[in-house]
Amino acid sequence: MMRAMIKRDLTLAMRSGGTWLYGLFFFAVFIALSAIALGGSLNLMRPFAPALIWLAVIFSAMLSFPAIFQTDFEDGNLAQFKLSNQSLLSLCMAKAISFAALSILPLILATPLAALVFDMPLQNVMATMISLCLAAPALAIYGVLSSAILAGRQGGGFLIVLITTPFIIPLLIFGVEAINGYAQSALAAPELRVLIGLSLISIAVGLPAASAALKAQLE
Amino acid sequence: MINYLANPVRFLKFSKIATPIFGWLSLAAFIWGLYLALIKSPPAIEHGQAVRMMYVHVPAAWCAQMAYTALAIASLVSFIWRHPLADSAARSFALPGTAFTFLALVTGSLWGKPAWGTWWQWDGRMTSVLILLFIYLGYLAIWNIIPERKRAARLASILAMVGFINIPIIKFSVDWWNTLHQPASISSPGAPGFPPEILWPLAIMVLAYTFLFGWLSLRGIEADVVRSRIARANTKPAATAIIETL
Amino acid sequence: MAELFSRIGAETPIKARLKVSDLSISRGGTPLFAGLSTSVSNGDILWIQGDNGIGKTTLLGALAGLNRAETGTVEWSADNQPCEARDICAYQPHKSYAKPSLTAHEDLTFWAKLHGTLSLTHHALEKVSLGPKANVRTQHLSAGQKRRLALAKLIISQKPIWIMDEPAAALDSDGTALIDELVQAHIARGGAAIIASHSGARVLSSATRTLTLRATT
Repeated sequence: MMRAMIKRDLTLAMRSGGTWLYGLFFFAVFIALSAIALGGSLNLMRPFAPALIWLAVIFSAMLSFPAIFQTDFEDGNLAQFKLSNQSLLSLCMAKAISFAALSILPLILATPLAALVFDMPLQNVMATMISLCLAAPALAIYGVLSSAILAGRQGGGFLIVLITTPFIIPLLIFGVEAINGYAQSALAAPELRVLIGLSLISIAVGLPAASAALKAQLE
Repeated sequence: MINYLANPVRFLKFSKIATPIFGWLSLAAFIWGLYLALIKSPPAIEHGQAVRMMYVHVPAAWCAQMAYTALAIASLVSFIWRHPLADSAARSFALPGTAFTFLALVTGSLWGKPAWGTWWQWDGRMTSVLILLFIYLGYLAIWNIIPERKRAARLASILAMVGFINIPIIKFSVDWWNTLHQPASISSPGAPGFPPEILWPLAIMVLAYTFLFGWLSLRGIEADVVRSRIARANTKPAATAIIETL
Repeated sequence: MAELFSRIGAETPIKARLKVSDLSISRGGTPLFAGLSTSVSNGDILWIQGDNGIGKTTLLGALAGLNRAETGTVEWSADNQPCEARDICAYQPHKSYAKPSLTAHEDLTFWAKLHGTLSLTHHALEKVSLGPKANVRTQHLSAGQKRRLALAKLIISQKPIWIMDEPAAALDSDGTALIDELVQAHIARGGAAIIASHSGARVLSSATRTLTLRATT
């Protein structure tokens, strides 16, 4: 059933006339603006490049958060889903997977390009991509949670950033530190393990909370 | 006790007695505590008179965390038993909690100027308290943006509980991040090992703040209970339902 | 639960019952009505009428378990065992919930997968005369055709109690006759229906009870 749900979300995105690419455009704009603000000197920017890429990914993802449940809530699909025989937990899981595929994966794939304009060493590019991959589940799940809490509220854009920030901070801290950790001990870096742990916690806590929030929206 | 107070009528009876007690105890503790803190206690050797900031800062930080714990417990009760009084309680803990968090940040910053030489340091404690402020603001915003009371209570309680689980994770992350980036020479002010002439006023101030928190929260719950009763009493259903069998 | 409901298609329907006791409903904090008690079980058609804004949709939402009652209870049971609303109720909202960029067939297939009734999709589309439009995206369907698609979703849900909000809106006389026919067939198989409408479609003649919401003066 989750497969049907994910397949439908991907089909809808593909037929949306490219709106799912907006997050990628935002990512590019953020990178360009940071480079301009920092004066454009490669030597100055190189140490901050992983942090800037992480910020670009986080903000781009946050801007996509409200859309996770918004249309399904407004057009009545969510109510129908509650009346089908499927659990809301599996709906949340499906939503997290399709969000990760549509809104985070393209950014991770675009990271080498961003690395190019910052002239990052290959090792740091690898580290940034790995840390983003490991944090992606948590990022997607907290997005699903906050979107479930704010479903059907107009102007939730700024609010969703406020609500998700406390959950994202540990990801940001360990994600950016992982670049140093990776330089020292490659895949055995403790930061990467912590990121895996954070993603596991988000699965254990965030997903049930998201399905409880959806249930509260529909009763 | 909780079961007994769960009835709003009984709660109002209880709070009629308890609220002033909290208020007066708080006032008395403030007078005594501030006298000890500002006049009796000696200035510290390294920080001079600035150490007196500690007596308003540390209790605020303590109350900010205690208020969030209380909020999370009330949210849990509200989530499991759907009790309206727990909703009122959680909601009423949030505003004083936010105020204490803000106060802790402001006093911390004022204390930081003489202690660190800057208004702000990204040290572990200040950063954690700042994030706690974000959590409080997000919680209050949920109540603000969702008009249906029961739904708002439910969604806010979910956010509060997930936030509570998240607090130790944030603390761990921020401390770890802090030790990597801050030179060890900068230590947070108010390090342990207090002599009794500092510990006493501090303890009394903590008590004063706690009573103040109790007083503010009880007042908040009372107002919330009365508000929802009025809302219920003043509205009559707009329609009647008539059933006919054909 | 799934095999329980597949029996609806067979000759022995499950005993479904929706019981409302002393129900009060409010919308956005404003009470709409109070003290409603009734019950719906196999073979019943409950017709809910009342002017716009009186609370018909909110009431239907409560019956389908999508709104919580202010006070009072709504209880659902299948074969005398208490169950959830979704075990026995299908809800057709006033607004179409078809995804604009999916074709009628894709949209219906998705819900059929969720209900575990994939084999019924073709039959359901034919039943509502959408067969020729199966591969048209729903954004290109007319309002009446979207209504028909929604009816097809009721069929594939295989739930005993149909809760319908203004099903006849935007439908031509053929469409109204179709609703009449589908509801009659559903009742004949032991189903039940709760229909809200301010217009009197032909199913009204066979309604066993009417519930009128009237403004208090």
